[in-house]
Amino acid sequence: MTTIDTTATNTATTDPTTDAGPTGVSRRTFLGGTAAAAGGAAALTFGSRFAFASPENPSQGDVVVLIFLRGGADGLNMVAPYNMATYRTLRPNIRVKDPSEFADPTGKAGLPMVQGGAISPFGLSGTFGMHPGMASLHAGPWSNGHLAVVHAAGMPRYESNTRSHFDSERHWEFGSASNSYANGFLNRYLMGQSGVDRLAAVGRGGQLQRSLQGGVAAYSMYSIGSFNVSGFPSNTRARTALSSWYDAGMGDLLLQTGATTIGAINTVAGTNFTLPQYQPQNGAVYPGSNLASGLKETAQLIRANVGLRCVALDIGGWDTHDGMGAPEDPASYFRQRVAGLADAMTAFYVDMGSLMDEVTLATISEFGRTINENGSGGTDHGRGSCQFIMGRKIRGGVYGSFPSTIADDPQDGDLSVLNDYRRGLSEVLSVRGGASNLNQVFPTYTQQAPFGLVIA
Amino acid sequence: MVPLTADHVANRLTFGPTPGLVAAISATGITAWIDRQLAPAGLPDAEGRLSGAAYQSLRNSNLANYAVRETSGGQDRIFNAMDHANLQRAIYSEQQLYELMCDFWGNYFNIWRRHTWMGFLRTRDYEDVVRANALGKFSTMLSASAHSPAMLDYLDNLSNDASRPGGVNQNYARELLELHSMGIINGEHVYTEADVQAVAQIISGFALESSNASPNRFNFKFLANQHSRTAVSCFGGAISFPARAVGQGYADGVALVDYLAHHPSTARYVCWKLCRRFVGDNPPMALVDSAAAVFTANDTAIAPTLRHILMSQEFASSVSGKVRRPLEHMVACLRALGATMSNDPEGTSADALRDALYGMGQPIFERVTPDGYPDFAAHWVSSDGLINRWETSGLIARNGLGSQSNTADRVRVDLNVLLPNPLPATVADLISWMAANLADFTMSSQDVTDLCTALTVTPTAVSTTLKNDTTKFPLAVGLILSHPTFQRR
Repeated sequence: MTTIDTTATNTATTDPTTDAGPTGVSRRTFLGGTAAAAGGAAALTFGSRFAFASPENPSQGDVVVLIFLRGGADGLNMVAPYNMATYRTLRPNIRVKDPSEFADPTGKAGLPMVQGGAISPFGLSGTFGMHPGMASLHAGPWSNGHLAVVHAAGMPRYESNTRSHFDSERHWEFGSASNSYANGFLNRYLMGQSGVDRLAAVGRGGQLQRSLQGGVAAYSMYSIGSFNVSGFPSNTRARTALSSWYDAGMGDLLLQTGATTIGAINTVAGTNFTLPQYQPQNGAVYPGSNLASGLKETAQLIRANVGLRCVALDIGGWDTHDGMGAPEDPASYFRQRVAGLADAMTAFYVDMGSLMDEVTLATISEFGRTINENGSGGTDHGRGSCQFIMGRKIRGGVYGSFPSTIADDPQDGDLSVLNDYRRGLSEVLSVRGGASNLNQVFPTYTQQAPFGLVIA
Repeated sequence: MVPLTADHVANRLTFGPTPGLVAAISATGITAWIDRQLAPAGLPDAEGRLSGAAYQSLRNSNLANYAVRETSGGQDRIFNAMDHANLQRAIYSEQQLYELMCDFWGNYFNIWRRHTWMGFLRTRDYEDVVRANALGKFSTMLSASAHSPAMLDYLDNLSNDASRPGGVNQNYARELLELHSMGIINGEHVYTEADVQAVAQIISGFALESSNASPNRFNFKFLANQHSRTAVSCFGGAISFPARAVGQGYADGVALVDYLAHHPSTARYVCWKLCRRFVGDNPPMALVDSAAAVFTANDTAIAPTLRHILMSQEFASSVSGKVRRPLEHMVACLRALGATMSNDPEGTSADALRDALYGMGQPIFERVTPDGYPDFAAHWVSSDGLINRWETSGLIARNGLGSQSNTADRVRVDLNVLLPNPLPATVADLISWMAANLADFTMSSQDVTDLCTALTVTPTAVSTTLKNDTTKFPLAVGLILSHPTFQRR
């Protein structure tokens, strides 16, 4: 699975009354991977302060940025137990290798993760290697002690043992495998917060992520710059008519979404959104990917003082059933994937600078993959994966239990889920986000002791 | 008893009513109209628009389309032809229920054309697997899909090679069970991980002819050397095959697919998806179960199963219970206003329509994952989705899609031919008339008043006040198409 890059400017907004020429670049041009940086970057005023630090928004929680790695990311090759015997034998071609296996390991070997960590009970600390394609993340956030890894993470089998993409994604995003909870855990988190208004919850893209769906108004968008009523001979008049028709009726999703969207356009977009293109700070350079432009938009929104509290983004392409390639090969598929993720996360981290004191970024993926490399050089659906949690109030290290050996068994083997993904997220939401309703955020999860990966 | 109405049928069983359709359904009789739609041969279709060389790829063999693909821009031309052909079929064919079912099965057996370089294979898949069987037998369609080079490529069965170290690739096997047959309804699994593993073995070797020299290149081929020949048993022993000799095993895969097509869980899953499409996002399970019985009793025939659903009380009482998906909304706008357009798949208007669907979040034939576009409103009712939906409505009503310099390559609507003569008396009358007769819904007098307020026109003014205003008139029409009621079907 791969995510389509649809960051192109919407040519349909071309005003036929003012532009007699043919339409410009079509969206599909961008499918070929020729995407430049997102065009038409939003125009906003930058507040120098955070939304939550502003007088008009007294809420005290951090911004939580959630990246969903869609397709089932192979955590065993992102943070690799590269000296584990079964890992080495069951992954002959795709395994991440120990530096000692190369005369010059630079750019080829796994990057030792010797700092920090609280792995129990098998004492594998120091024996994990980050994929060499993730060098930027290793050299930056990890080396600065701002990156935590929860490995063997997922939904424990007593709640769900599925290896279905579609089931698992729903379980993660709803925070529960129970059919009784059909709205997003981030939305329920915001439900318990005060001072949630304006653009508190933003999902990047055309479709609102399930993690954000629910009673608190949440907005899907590609860019704040295009978040407006357009296409009509008079967009102002159109907005007036639409706002009279889309009435936030009780329980009607269409009417409610229409009403809150127009409301947000009226109160947030307003008339003073005619500002210069966003310039990343601190020398940050975002790569040209859909995720990177989403994170850049996120950085812009954080600086724009619009009340932002939760952001959800997606990156696809993790369903690597074949052709993952060797980690030391810079052109290999999986290396390109992890490099894209690492470079985008690192750019955001650099751009935010000290603002990362109040921003926490976390990744999730529906499951990890089999320890067995299949006959086509890929891996099939597994169970536990690794989860990254990044911020300047994060205590770097590898957390949770991890086995000393992993067996190839599609029913009961592979990297099983030893660490509930909700454990780290609970800590982030309560310590950094001020959540006091974790029993509603994660209603079917019994709270465990915090890992201690968050600094209050 | 809730009576089945022509309005409901026109909204739910077509891509949107054209002016006069509701009256035509009433005149034919609702049941007779549905039965004709279920056996649509002979009803006018849109194929005449697709007879030219620009659509040759629809008729080409896989090998011939490979040759097109190898020319400069060839892949884009193949994809554009597929996109614009099926868009025009949705807009212009009078076999509307059949076209809806093609869209349904196209999503059910979704394939993303950009997963590998062999995306050109999807054209034959869509014509021969989906369209050829959309109202036929499910068992035939499932078997055709299991033999479809496009599907086997997309879900990695070409590399499901039991002879290699590491063994089988589970990708196709898993989705064959989860998405194409037994399914998972509300988290209920009816098969195990061991079953997935076994199915991957049984189906290994289902691949395609790859020899450059073969005239069958890119067509289905069973590769005996890739097939797992070990003994296998799954589904609690219901499917069980002994160890096989080299060259054997193809019949095992065929028997497996036939077993799956006729499995009770498959009947239930298929009917659950049909009911979600035609009745509601959370369909009543009693209807799902009764439809599954009809499906099984008719040896997986789709038309009688669908007829059972459409004749049910649950269907009759589900008026306006679904929100139109982006494709349905755009086509409904075009049909409501009698839009004309060039049939050039490379043209500006084809491109603009494609772009509009991108904007609304569901570009045609671009769903990346094998589950197809979701059929649950929360997936497309979003801020960005609505903003782009309103924009598309506004642009269609003002002739804003397509080339602005070449009218021949523009998506055009001509409201003059649609309006009655004489015109309704007042501005309010005109708005009400257009909502009722073009968009097929009754706009409340309050909503009419609100629209007049937004337009700064007096409701009681003579209707030409609005009709002759070249800015406000197309604005009013675009807004009628953006009204909440028009978003539902």
